[in-house]
Parts: sequence; structure tokens; C-alpha cells
Amino acid sequence: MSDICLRVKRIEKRFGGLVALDKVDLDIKKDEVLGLIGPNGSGKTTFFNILTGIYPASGGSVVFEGQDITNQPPQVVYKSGVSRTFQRSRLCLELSVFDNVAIGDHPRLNHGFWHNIINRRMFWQEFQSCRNRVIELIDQFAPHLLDKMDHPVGGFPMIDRRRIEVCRALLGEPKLLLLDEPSAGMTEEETRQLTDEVLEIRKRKSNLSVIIIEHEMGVISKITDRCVVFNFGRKICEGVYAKVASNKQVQKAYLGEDL
Amino acid sequence: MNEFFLSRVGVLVAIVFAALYISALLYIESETMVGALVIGLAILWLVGNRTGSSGRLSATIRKNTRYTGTLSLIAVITVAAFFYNDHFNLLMLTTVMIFVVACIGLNIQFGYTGLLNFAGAAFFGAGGYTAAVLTSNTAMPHLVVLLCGGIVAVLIGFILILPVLRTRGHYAAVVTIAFSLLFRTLVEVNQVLGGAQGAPVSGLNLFGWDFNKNFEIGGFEVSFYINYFIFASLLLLISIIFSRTLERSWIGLNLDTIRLDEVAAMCFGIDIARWKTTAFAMGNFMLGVVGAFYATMLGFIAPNNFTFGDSLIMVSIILLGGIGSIPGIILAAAIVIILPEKLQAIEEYRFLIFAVGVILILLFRPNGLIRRRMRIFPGVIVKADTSV
Repeated sequence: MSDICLRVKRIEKRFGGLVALDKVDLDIKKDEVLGLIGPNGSGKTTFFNILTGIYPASGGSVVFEGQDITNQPPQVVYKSGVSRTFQRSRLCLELSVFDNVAIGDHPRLNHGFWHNIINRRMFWQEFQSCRNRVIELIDQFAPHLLDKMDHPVGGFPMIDRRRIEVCRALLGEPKLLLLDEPSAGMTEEETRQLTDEVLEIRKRKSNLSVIIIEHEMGVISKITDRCVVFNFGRKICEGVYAKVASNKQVQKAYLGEDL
Repeated sequence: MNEFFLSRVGVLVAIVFAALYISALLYIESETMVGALVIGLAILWLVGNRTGSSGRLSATIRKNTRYTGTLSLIAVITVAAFFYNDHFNLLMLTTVMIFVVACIGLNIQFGYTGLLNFAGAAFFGAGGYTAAVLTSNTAMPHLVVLLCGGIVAVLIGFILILPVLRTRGHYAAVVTIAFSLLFRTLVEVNQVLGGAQGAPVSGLNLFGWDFNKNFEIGGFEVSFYINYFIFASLLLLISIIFSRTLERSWIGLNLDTIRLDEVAAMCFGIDIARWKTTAFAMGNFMLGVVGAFYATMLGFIAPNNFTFGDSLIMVSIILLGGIGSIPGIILAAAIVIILPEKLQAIEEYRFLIFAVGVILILLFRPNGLIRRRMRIFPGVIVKADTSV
């Protein structure tokens, strides 16, 4: 029991008549990298949105590190140690690289008026420690951005934005990281770089489980310990990549009936 | 070293020019001359942008904020001294400053947090009516009256906060439009507050100093508006420092994140309702205080001072100047308030002209006359060679 990081039980999501997730069970072990695959519209992103509290679940439960986080608001979920990136990168394009990453530190920072407006000396002290954490992360995952920390994020290519998103998600030292299709909109070469970087995260961060949604099977086969396949909101298969890839049902879901 | 010296001289020249320009604009009576001055500035503006000198100037100003601040303060005092016995122009300059403070408050809501508030004049008026009631019925110290103006505006704002939090973007704006119209109707029909005729407000009296009396300095009879002018400069200084400190704090970062992406903000722990409420309250407080001050200066308030049109003027000052930009607000407020007074020819059409101005700005210069410089926290840029 103690090596289970996240336990999802019979989670359900209905949008009106549409069943987006149909009683899905899922366990993730500590330090595990789990691939979440399935055709478009199979409920992968909905699953993330329910885990992080953006949508309320229609039924079922989510227990993270022994704490019931079912239907908790996103703020509480983040504080408990689950962070994520988004399929269509959600950075504040006008803000600088530093500002975007620093948001990840929100729960740790003092947001009081006295601290922020009047007692500026304490603020700058706290700022220094936050700055050091941000710089350390950028140095690990996007060192070429170090001298561009003041540039607005909108001017960077997709791969750098993804890196910034990953840094933001890692700044709060999460125990579970949800990556929503990190290779979307990237070239083959960039995808390869990104794969290496995810492996790098794994190596450097202990006690971090990762769930990754991905359509690039190359990425999935290289970095995941285990895969779960969704189709029409149901979990249809689970196991190591090689086993999942040879499963008849999975092939049918991806390629159609005839093959 | 030489370059440092030159850049400081550049800032000095710019500020002296600005002071001379504003004095000339106010001093000259002939409408053709005023028109010529305005066109001259527009040409200078275009040339400055084309040659890149305005960019260099603003870079220098950002590097020498304290120096620029001190010089601006001296310039403000000099201009005031120049108009020492000119009631009308002092009143106008003070009005500009009051609107700048009001718009800095609105800017915390709109520019930072993305809450479009079309009830600016209503909260301004709430402060004004509070001053009217308190100065005529109680012996409360006037400094407290001003604070009460702010507090009442905040409390009235809380009536609106539920619908504002439950709606987003334009829908929240519609809620404030409704409130703005409601407020005006309410004060107009309510006889307790003087109805359509309005209510008298007594002049400010701080620590025994009567603001409404002319006084003498070294044999010169000085207009009593100087009192209001100085107090307004003080309010302006405080609100600029407050707004800039706020921007360069975690609170400012929260507000910007909420404006740009609410979902991302939620997912990283930012409490949207808390910060929207805070921003709304901060803005309304500033509007209320300065509204109370404005009422004491005019000595009289009526519902007609706080119409939806006035709220629109405040929002258009922010749009013209550049959303989020304090220098932009100062410039735009000066244009929007001084020009119609000096050019009686356009007075009648001022709403039309501002509307066209705002549309042109949004089309061709969406960041406004002086665009907002995004916050750069100190020491976040690491040079490549030192990082290893």
C-alpha cells in the first residue's frame, strides 16, 4: 500500500449524455512513469482535468498519498503535490520567463500585504530564495534561457515554452507530475530532445511519479514503465509497452476493425 | 561616465520641456495657439518614435528612476509656483492629478487583474457623497473623512463582487455598467443625498489649516487651490509608489497571472476569488478616497458629476495611455482633461473625439501611447559565463 502514489477508483465523468470517463480504475506506484495513450477523444485529458480538480468528477474517488483529493479545488490539489503541464501550453505570454516559472512557487510564498508592500526587506529576502530555486531549475532543463530570463515567453519557440512549463510544474517539488502531450506541435528532432529531458527529470528527481499523455509511440516506448490505454472513456488495456502494443483490442482502437 | 552624464542631461531637458510645455498650454488663451501647440507635440512625438530617441529616453528614465522622480517633483512645484494665483489653472492641474489617481486605482483592477470596471465614476461618487454627508453632519477630522470615502466605496463594491466573480470578461463589465447607471439614478431620486440638485461639501481642513483660504507668502497672495494642488500631488505620489510596489511583488504576479490565464493560475494554487476581490477593493478604495477629496475641492457634488459617461472617460484614459502603464495614464489624463477646456471648439464634441481616439489607438497602437513595461525582477538574468 505504501508504495502506491495515486489510487483512482471507479472515476466517472459525464458531460450531459456523453460519458467521457466510465468507471476508470488506476494505480500509480511511487517513482513510476506511466504512459496514458488512446485515440483522440478517449478521455485522457479529461482524466487529467479531474485529477487536478478543474472538473468535478461525476463519481468515484481519487486518493493521493493517502489523502482524498476527489473534487478538491485545483489549488488544494496543487498544494498536496500534483502538478501538470497543458496540451496547448498555458503560459502567460506577456510575462517573462522568470515570472512564468515563479508562479509554481505560489503555495510557498508569503502573499500578505505587510510582507509584500511595506516590509520590502523581508520580501527581497524571500525573493532571493525563490529566484535561486527558479535559476537552478532553468539551469538544469533550459540553460540557454538563463540570460533571457527577462524576455516575454511569447517570443520563444514551442519547445522552449514546454521546457518553461515543465520547470514551472517542477518548482513546487511535486510528487506527481502530469505531462499532457509534451510533443504536440514539435518536430521529430525536438521530440527526441524532449524525450531525453523527461528521462533527465526522472534521473534527477527522486520520489517523483509521472503520468504522460502521448501520441508518439517512440516516446512512450522509451520512457514509460507501464502503459494504460483508454478508448471511449474506458480503460481497455494495461501493462508494459510491448505487451500493450501487441494487444488486439488496442490495435483495433487505433487502426480500426479490418486490420 | 560621459554617457551617464549625457543621459542625465537628456532626462533633465525632457522634464524641463514637459514643464514648459504644460505651462505654455495652460497659460495661452488663443485657441489657434493651443491647437498649434497640440499639433507640434504630436509631430514631435512621431519624430521621437521614428528616430528611436523616445525609446532611448524611456530606457534612461527607467535606469534613473530616483533622479527622474526628484526632478519631476521639482518640476511640479515650479509649475505650481508659476500659477500661484491662477485659480482656474490650478484647479485644472489638480483635477488632472485626481483623475490620474482614480485611473491608477482602476488600473489595478483592469490593467493588472483584467477586471473591466465601468463603474469608476460611481465609486468615485460614493467617496464624494460620503464626504458630503460626513463633513456637513459630523465633526470628524477630514483626514478620516477621506479614508471613510475609500472605505464606503470598498463596501459598496462588495455588493458587486459576487456577480463580478461569477462572470468573466465582458459579462463582468456589463455588471459594472448596470451598477454605474443604477448608482446615478439612486443618488438622483434619493432626497437624503440632495437629489438631482446635489449636496454641499465643506472645504478641507487638515490640522487646523483651512484649505479654502488664500494665503500670503512673502507678500504674494497665493490661491487657495495651491493647498489642494499640494495634497493631490501627495496622493498621486503615494498611489504611484503603491502601484509600482504592488506590481513588483508576489501580489502583482498573482494579479497578472489571473488576467492572462485563470486556469493556469488555479492549477498553481492561486486563489482567484481572493485576488480578484482584493484588486477590486484596492482600486475602489483609491477611487473613493480621491472622490471624497475631489468633492471637498469643488465644495459641491451632484449626480451629474458621476455619470456613466465619466466612467467611460476613466476607462478611455487607461486605454489611450496604455493598459497597465502609469506614465501612459498621466499623459492620457492630461490630454483628456485639459484639451476640452482649452479648446472650447471641441468641448461639445469631446465624447465623440475621445471615442474616435480610443478606436484609432486600439486599431493602430493597441498598447496605448506609452505601453506598459512588464515587470523585471532584479537579478533574474544570469550571464552565461557565470552560471557554470
